[in-house]
Amino acid sequence: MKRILDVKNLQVSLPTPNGNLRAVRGIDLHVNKGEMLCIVGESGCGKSMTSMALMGLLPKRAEVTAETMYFDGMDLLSLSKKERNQVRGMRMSMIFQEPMTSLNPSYTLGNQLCEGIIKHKKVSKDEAKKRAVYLLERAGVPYPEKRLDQYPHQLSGGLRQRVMIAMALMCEPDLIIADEPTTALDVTIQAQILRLIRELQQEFGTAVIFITHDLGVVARIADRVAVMYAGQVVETASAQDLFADPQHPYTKGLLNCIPIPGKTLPGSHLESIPGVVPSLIGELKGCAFENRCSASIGECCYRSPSLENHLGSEAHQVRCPVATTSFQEAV
Amino acid sequence: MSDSTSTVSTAASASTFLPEVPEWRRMMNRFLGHRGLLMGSIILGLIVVLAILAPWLAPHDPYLQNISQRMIPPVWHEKGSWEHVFGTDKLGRDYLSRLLYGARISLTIGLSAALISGLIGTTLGVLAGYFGGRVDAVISYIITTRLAMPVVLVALAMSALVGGSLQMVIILLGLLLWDRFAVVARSTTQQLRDAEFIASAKVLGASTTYILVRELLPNILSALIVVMTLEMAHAILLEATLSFLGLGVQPPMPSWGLMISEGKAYMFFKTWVIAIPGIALMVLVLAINLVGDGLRDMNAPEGRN
Amino acid sequence: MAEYALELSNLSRHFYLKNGAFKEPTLLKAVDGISLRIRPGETLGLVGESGCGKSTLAKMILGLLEPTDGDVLINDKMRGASSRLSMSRQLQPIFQDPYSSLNPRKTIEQIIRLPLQLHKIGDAKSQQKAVQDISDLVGLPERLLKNYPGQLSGGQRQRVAIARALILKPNILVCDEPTSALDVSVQAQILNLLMDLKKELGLTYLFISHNLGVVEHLVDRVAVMYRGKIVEQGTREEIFQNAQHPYTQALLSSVLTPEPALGLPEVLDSSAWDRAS
Repeated sequence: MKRILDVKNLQVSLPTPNGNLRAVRGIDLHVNKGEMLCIVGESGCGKSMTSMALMGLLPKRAEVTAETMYFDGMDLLSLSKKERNQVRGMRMSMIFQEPMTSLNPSYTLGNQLCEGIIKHKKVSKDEAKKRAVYLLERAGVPYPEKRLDQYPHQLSGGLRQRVMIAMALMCEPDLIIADEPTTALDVTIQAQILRLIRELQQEFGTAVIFITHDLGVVARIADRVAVMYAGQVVETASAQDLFADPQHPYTKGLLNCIPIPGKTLPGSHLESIPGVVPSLIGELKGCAFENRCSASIGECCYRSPSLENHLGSEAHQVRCPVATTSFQEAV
Repeated sequence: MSDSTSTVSTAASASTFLPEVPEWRRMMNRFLGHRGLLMGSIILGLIVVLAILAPWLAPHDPYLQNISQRMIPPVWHEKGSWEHVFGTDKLGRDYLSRLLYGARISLTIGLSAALISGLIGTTLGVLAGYFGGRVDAVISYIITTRLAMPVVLVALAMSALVGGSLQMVIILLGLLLWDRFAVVARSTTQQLRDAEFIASAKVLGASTTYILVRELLPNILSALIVVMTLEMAHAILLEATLSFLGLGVQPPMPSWGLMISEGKAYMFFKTWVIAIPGIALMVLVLAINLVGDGLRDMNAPEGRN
Repeated sequence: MAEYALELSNLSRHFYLKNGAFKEPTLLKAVDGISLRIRPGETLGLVGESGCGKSTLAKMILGLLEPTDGDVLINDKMRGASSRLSMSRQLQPIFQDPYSSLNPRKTIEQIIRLPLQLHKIGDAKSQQKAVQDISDLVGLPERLLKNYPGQLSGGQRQRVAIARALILKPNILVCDEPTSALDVSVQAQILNLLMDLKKELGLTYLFISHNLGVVEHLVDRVAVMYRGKIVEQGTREEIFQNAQHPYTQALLSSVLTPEPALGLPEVLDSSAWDRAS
């Protein structure tokens, strides 16, 4: 399958008054054409930083390095700022968590929807409008023609997110990065928006990197999942494999934390992950999860584990020596 | 989420909640790392020390007139002497001594006026911000009325009416410079009014006074301290202006503004007569403003952990 | 003992939304005639989406907002009849956002101790002892007592909030989305703590949440709120296994459990339950 995005050893660090914050610590990621990759992790794990780095939206003081960062065969790292903006506008787009802040309150929706495509694709104003109406309709926005003259504050949260989705699709991008697009929405609306994203993604064949903290959302929408912890990917697998057979202690821990209606006995003691995330300032010695891990062994304290294939398959990788050795012993 | 910096700061703060460095150490580091703040504090500290120690440091009595020693130039002039380092004025009083005592007046007026206006402005602003509604409407009206009055003109008129003196200048400026305190206190209070820790104190049955003074005030204090420095500088300059015009501090007191005024007849021939108090005034106001800017930077949300 | 720990009878709160200087203000019935009863030791889950009025309801129960109509009874006594001070010994809140519920300029010890000081209970020494005991109870390490809220993690902060709420030994806690600002691994810790405390102290909870998974795990009875009204209430089994109201059904089908095979639920339309209610 063709990879639309291929990143090796992505690192992001930020200077803070207390030292260098290494928010992303060497991430390998790829997204195939038309695939839905979910990046899941808790707050501060570096998932949003990763998306910002991929989009090239981090502030100047952030230091972004990577061995390779290919987008559809193009080396993003060697592009000039102007070329990068061109790629970002035309071929990659982003959906944010809070649509109110990512839509400009003083321009009409029509203006904001058409601005990008007119600038980047040199289409006429009428054509742009036509496409905007078509996409708004596809995104389930009632009265799409009327909406073009409306302002963001005239829409409800769910509708705004639908407009954002339409806007992300305007230039027919190859990749959309959606950063917690449904977190601010009510559950009934969330289900509708997720379905919409999934449908449009499959219809247009767009690759999506979907960033969320909600394992329930991940399970229902993802093709492939990358679990992040302390700036690293600790486990990656297809959604089916990950939920059926989680390997990393952190993934297992996360899944056990959530009370599931019909499965978890009401009122029973929930499993939790003790301790807190280590500070990401400076270097980490050994495995980042070691201090909270019930399965840790001696070497976890000093040796930083690498991402290894599980059951010899590249499709399921785990960053944990315990998970991989127990398999080898079993064989 | 539209600007990337906000995401960055939240991501950073979420993962760094366990500092190994104690709070005071970090504040210290930030303080030392801020060049303007460091420089401003050193200069301001020096001026304060000089002002406090004026009776011991001053080589002469600042009020002692000596007709035979009139208009001696400062030491760097060819006719200057070490006896009067900054020279003497037209009445033969030692300029350095007057400068040192003048610093006391400037600092006293700056601090007292800022404290009085801080008290008035903060009280009004906090009440307006916390209660909102009609209270806010009335206080906002008072603030706008105050903003419509030109400070210098009112001060001139008042001091012409009542007569100038040190106390008069302090009270006058204290009653005039509270507007910025009120505006800042009002807006910061509005932001905190609905915070859950305030709600929690209310549920516990805390009195409104307790909530305002003990829960709310400590959280808006840092913003008010920044305003305080600005108003201090403002008051010092206004005092100099009034004294220069003869309506502020009255002779023979050694106010810097008065010194400039007394020297203005000579300013084309003996520049140092006004240059020395002028530069002193500028350095003091600059130092206070540097401190204020620095404190504001230290309190800026993006710098907070 | 009182028959009901918390009783709401026909509670309403209306707001007038301004539409500019010359137009008539719109009437918004944020809470519209709600009656609820919670027995001592019971946990009632109040479920609803944003804007349904559940926060307004919580504010009225806590006495932060005057009802337009109706009464709040706490341990069979009218909320308005006794002072805030005496009410606060019976009912305490736990808020959603552990970052805004603690005063950033006070140490943890000062925060937990505040209720005792306001109520003038004990001397300095016994207060300190009480703070330590309650910190033990909620699993807050003693070394954190001298710290400021900014130095604590979200979970630790929520423990502080729980300690502050419990130090006056109230019998009712009003928990307004107490875990929705926390990560799931921390959420589990706080839910466990709330369940343990209930067993140990015999507390009554009004548990307000939009997370149905959490609600099912914790509560005895559920009330579903929509547009200021209770559209359905019943025991946990009744609601989760045999929901009657289309809105409750829609809410339940929107719960996304981590089961990839189930895929995304059918697209729902609010007109269905709008008609029903």
